[in-house]
Amino acid sequence: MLYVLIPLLPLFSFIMVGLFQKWMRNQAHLICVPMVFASFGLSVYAFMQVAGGNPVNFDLYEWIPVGDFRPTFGIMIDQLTASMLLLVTLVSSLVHLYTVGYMHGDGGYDRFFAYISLFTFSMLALVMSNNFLQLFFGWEMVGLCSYLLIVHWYERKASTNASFKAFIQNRVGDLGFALGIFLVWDTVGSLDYGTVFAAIGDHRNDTMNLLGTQVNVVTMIALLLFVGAVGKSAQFLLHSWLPDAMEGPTPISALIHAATMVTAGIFMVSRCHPIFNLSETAMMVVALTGAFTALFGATIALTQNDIKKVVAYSTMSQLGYMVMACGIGAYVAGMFHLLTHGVFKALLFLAAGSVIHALSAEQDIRKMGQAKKYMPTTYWTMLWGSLALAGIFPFAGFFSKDEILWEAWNAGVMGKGLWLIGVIVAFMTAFYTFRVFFMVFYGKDNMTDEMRSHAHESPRVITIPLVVLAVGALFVGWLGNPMFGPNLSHNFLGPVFNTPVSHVPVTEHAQLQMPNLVGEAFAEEGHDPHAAPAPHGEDPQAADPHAMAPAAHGAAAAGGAEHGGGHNKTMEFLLMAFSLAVAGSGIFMAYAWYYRPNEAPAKLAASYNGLYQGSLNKWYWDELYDAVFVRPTVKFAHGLWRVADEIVIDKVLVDGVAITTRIGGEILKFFQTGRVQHYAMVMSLGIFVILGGFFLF
Amino acid sequence: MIPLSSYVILSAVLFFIGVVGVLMRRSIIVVLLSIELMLNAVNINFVAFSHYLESITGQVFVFFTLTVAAAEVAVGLALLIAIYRNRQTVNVEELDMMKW
Repeated sequence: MLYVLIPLLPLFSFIMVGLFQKWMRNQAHLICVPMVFASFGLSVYAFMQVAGGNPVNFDLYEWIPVGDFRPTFGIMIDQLTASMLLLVTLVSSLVHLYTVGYMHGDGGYDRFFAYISLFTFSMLALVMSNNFLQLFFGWEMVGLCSYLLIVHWYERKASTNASFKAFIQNRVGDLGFALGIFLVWDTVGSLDYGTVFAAIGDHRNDTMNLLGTQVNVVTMIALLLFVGAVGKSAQFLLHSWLPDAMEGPTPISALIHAATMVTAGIFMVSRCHPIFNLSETAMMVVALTGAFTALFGATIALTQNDIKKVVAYSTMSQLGYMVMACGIGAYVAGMFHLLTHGVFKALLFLAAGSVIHALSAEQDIRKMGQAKKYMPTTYWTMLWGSLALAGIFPFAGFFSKDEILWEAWNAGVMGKGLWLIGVIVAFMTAFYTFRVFFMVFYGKDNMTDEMRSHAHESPRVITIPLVVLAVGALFVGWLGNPMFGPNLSHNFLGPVFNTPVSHVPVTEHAQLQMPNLVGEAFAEEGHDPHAAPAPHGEDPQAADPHAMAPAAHGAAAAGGAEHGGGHNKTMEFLLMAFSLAVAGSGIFMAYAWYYRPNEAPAKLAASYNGLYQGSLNKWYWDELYDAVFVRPTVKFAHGLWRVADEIVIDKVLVDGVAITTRIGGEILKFFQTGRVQHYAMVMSLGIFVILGGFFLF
Repeated sequence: MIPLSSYVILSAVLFFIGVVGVLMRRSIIVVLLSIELMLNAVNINFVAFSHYLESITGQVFVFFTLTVAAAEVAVGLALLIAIYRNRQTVNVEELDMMKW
């Protein structure tokens, strides 16, 4: 029951700061920071408990019982949740600390603390949920907090526009998500994870009528849930809110739009893997969306000039990586990348924020340069974060990214294609990350004198979180190190995906419902330590179902990294070396072009102007959405305003009532002569008529 | 023995004379007199039925009517004098300022 405090402590600080904001006098951190650190401490405890083999799953109370529908608030902490808890509370704690320095002197200081505490509560409620409704609750709450925090500087037009965009695009995704949950309820009759995941296998051949065609229900559920993930995790088609969300203060970009909230989509897909595993089509869609988003985000990040925008697009691209990993069934790799990415991307954002803070709120990297000498700590931590993002050897990104690439390599023909995309993206990632890095810290000094005179290292309360995260960016990857000893990330997370939360034998899933991609991966590997002798070949009858289950899941989730087999190991190391070389060449290219002022990028941009403009303008998706959705909507609303509101309501209804009564009065006034005898006459006649009627009828 | 119908007819005739007086005459004084006439027509009815039904209620009611009529005359004449002082007329057709 101690676990209940993990989300409740941040909620407590939200309520205190939110209600008594007036008396806070910019001291809100005195409540919020200790609370969130306590929450972090409890999360570490929970993590230890789970690692010690004590996952928990209990209901707290019945929420809104209506007939058969009895949703509960519950807490489930398994390995997946425990890792998310650690990430969320760690990053949130550091961001709280960082905020003390970054938002110092801001008019909305206390409000800001209230909202990040609320966000932390919502995110924790999301990941600790044991049913779909609570998941949805957390899902909506984090969306709301994201909106409230993007619009923190509400007097700026760009902020309000960005917040609307984020809110509306998320609503589109959430609609799909809600429909998916409705369909789960309709199909299974329960929203509890355990019940749903246990029963969903029985419905794998059910069909439903969708606009006249019969479609598979499970595929439909998976796709609808994925629409939610697309919105929340800024995947292609609902992606354009994320870069705009950078209008919010930098701590928010780090906490919500890099490390935690945007990863909710990947978390949800991983959590719902028993559903996704049943649908080959859905998995394919997930994988392709992820791969395309990875490529799409990376191509845009190449040319952006706003330091935060570059990091934002790289977030989008890395989220694509994770979604792709989920799509090929490599949930462990996806989750592992989520965790490492959460650490180093938060680091990059906070470091970028430190740069912005130090350089008089300038965000354009073309106006920076030679900043190294002013801020050594920021320089070093940002270097570590960039190396981690680029995927250079001892840093976190290397291990997690290569694991995804390795899983993709093993996932059949389509997987090879995904691998190729992944490698291209890795190259671009290394390039654009270090493009920013060199342009800010080396290159030509383009700062104005005013900026230079104010340039300074950030205060300690900002640099400490940076250092902590930088150390994390170096070490967290080693948990998934395939080279020496056991791969800890697989040992820890693997069981979640081997044994779904349902506590029901998973044999059916494994044999019949694993998508082909995974089957192929499994077939290629041909050897799996979990499964001992049984799982050779694809024939379900031949293989012992109980052995088969972990085998196929192992292949899906754990992939090749921890598997024996000299050939695979060699291959894996070869691929690792290859992607390392790719990342290295990306960095080298950035070094060659941007370390010293150089004409090459400008020339290249000029000779491929079309491509350059496309990338610079985000492939015109904003313009497209503007033309297809925004402007017609605005025009429609304008029409409603002019016709429905001004003419129908104002003129016809409101003015109409007034005019009718006035004309009626104008006519009827002639009957009021002011002479008593006329009234008496009418009264007498009235009495005669009534009495006459009374006697006659 | 005079039958009940005679009283009722008398009462009706008096009442209609009162109604016509109220509706037709121009002087407020005559209008007030006509209203008195209507009230007393009703009183005749009350007394006649009281006797016919051997119930005292009707006669008690008449006392109330007389009291109200007396009060009404007092107030009515006071108003009439006030109107006359203001407007120098007691013609109802000229007292028509309560209109649009």
